[in-house]
Amino acid sequence: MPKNLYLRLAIANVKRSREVYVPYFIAATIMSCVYFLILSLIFSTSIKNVPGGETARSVFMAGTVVFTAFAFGFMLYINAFLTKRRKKEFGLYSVLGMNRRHVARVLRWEMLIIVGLGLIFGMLLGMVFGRLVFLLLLRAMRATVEGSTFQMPFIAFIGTIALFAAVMIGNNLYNGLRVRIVNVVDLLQSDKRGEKDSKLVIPAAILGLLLLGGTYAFVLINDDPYFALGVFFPAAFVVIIATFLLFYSGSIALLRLLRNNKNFYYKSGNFVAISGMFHRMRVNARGLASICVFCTMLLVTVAGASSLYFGQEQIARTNNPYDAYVAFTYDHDEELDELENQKRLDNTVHELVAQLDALALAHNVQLQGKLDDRVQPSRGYLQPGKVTYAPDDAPIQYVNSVLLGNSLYMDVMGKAADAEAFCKEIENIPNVIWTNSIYEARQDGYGAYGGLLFLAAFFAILFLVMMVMMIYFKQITEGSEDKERFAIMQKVGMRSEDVKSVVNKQILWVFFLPLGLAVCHILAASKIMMQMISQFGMFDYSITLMCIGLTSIVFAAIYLIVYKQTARVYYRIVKW
Amino acid sequence: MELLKIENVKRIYNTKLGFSQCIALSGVSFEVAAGEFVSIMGPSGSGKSTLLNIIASLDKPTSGDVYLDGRGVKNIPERELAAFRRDNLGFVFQEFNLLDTFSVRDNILLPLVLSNMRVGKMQSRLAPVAQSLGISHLLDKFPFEISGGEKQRTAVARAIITNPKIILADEPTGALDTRSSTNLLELFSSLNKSGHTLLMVTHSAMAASYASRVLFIRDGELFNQIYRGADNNRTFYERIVSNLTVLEEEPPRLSIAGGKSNA
Repeated sequence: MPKNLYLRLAIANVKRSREVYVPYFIAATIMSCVYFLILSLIFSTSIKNVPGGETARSVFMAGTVVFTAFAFGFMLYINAFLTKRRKKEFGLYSVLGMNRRHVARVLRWEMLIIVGLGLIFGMLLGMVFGRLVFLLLLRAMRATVEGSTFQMPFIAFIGTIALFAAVMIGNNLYNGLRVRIVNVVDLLQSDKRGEKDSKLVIPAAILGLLLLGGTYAFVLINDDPYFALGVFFPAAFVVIIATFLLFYSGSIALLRLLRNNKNFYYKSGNFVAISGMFHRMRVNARGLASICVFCTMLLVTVAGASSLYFGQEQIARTNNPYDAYVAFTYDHDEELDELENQKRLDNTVHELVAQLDALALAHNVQLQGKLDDRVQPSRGYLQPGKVTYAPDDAPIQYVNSVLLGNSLYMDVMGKAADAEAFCKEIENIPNVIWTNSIYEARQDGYGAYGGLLFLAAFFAILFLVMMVMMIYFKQITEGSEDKERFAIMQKVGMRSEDVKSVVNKQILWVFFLPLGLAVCHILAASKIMMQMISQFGMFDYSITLMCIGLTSIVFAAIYLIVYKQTARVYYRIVKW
Repeated sequence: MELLKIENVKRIYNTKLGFSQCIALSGVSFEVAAGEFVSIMGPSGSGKSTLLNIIASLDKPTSGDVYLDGRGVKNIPERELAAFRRDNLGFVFQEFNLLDTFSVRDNILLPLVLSNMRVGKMQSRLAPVAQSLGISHLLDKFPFEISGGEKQRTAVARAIITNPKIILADEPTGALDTRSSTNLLELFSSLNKSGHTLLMVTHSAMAASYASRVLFIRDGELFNQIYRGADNNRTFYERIVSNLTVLEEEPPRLSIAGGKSNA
């Protein structure tokens, strides 16, 4: 046998099934591109030099582990899906005299072509757009471009190639197994029988409802924000299980109900759509549930990250009730009495305040500290020039800065740039051992939350690609299965308008059921999300709610476009 | 009175690039009277399936006309065609063409559902039809759970439930064993006796021998036709076979004309 026969066969197959392989290729390309970009951002030194960059890097680092797992699993999923639907073709190869090892070899070539090209293309895209993405990231981090250029470290190439190599090995193992375990007669027979009606529907429905209702109730009743973080992931896990159970049992139960309602069922549009969905309710349910889970993950990720990003001013303010904070030390001597030590402290404070005032004057800013309920005074307050100890219930009106223990708190008034410069210089004052300011916090915040927002965007792309692929493959598979059915129905006297309306109805269900439940999930999750976010110091729930709302709307719009496109592809397939 | 009238129907297929033409039907004319059971026979490639598709309005003739009950099929607008088929024609296919997503009941009801009939009326129509075809006990089963013969009877039920003017059968026994074939053909006979008009394309002489008239088609034209007359199935069968022999042996004619002779 000529050596490149398998390659030629593989190329022919790829050309023939463009409708499947083009999306597969695009998905692989996007995966490779995004992965390459993440790795570049992590491993390049460029981001390290950016203020707040170290924080952003560690955010990316943590995200990458999860991202790798998802990307890997997803690539395996597409392959498994595509291999499964080619049963018949493998049977034909066997009949033509190819043994299973040969078939596996053809498959290996096909995958090498698609995944390999995707890998290369993705990295190329990453190289082209990397700089743009880097600039966007800097913008999100509010960092200046000066002094940092985008780099593509060698390890980013290696890492991306490693991931794809792992994907190829995994796919090969799966395909080899898949080709080996089926026998030829099975391979050639197409499976016409519908799925058996299940007896477990009612228990599964009850269990699903209980789990979902219980988790919703638990999450909604819980008022303890410290609890939220620990509860979130277990709750999410239970909700995922409940989603699968509900889609499985709920869709079957609903379809049964519709089917038993004779007046509804025996209407030309409903009739065909319902029986079609009944026919593959289990596969359908699994697909719908996965789509719903991905929708929810996407919404939660994007809404959460963006509300942190947009709420970070509040977070910075919560963590820094005063613009600046100075911790100092004074010459405390155990052998002297308390009054003497108090004098030393007073002197230190006086010196410190004088130096702060001088520094403020130099930087053209004004200092003021106002005691309010954000800080409870423990020892006293300062007036210009002298320290006074207030009785516990004395009204405290207006002071230069707030003295609390061995710390001074103050608000810095003036131009932002001046204030920032002032804050930076405080640490040079003698006796100061530690300073912190909202300006630093903001910078760190933009690094962390900007990085997080970016990571969320990467994840959003990942989830979106996954979801679109799942929906698309599901529809074209069903389309080619339904082709024959629609042909028969048209012979028996179905109009092409009817076909269109059935297709629309069927796809509408498939699309908007998962979206609907996903929105339910995120609404139920909004409280626990806000509780988690409040742990960061953000209490403005309206920002979170707005982010959830906006994300859902944008997502629904994208979803609608995908729906229209898919319906068109499906209709083109089944059209007579 | 004739129910179906085929008038000089031609069907020419153009090959992909239009360089050469393939003549599937080169001018066929015949009539079918109400209450007849007509068989169309011919070797593979003779054009009999094309003819049936044209009668079924699934295909359009290049020239010539098809009249059903005096109405020219050609003049029916495209969007009414589906409804026309549904209301006037009943189909029985070789591969049964049952929908595996539907139960037997729903398969039979499909054309009625498509014409938006009320549920009560549908059910009242279904019962006698299922009864007469002996499939009442199968109604809740799915196609993959029943035998070939039962599938074909389901298909017949689907074809007759609309009370069509004519039942068109395309190789209905092609996928059946002998016993199921005989059952089906006897069913056709009894449907015919109860007033149904049937037009069946087949290449089985045994199947054709159940008809009251057999048309022979070869190379896209009507070659011959024979009437059953007073023959029983056996003698009619022998006459069909001898006609088939002539059909196979006679050299192709060059002239285009609808042959018509009574043997």
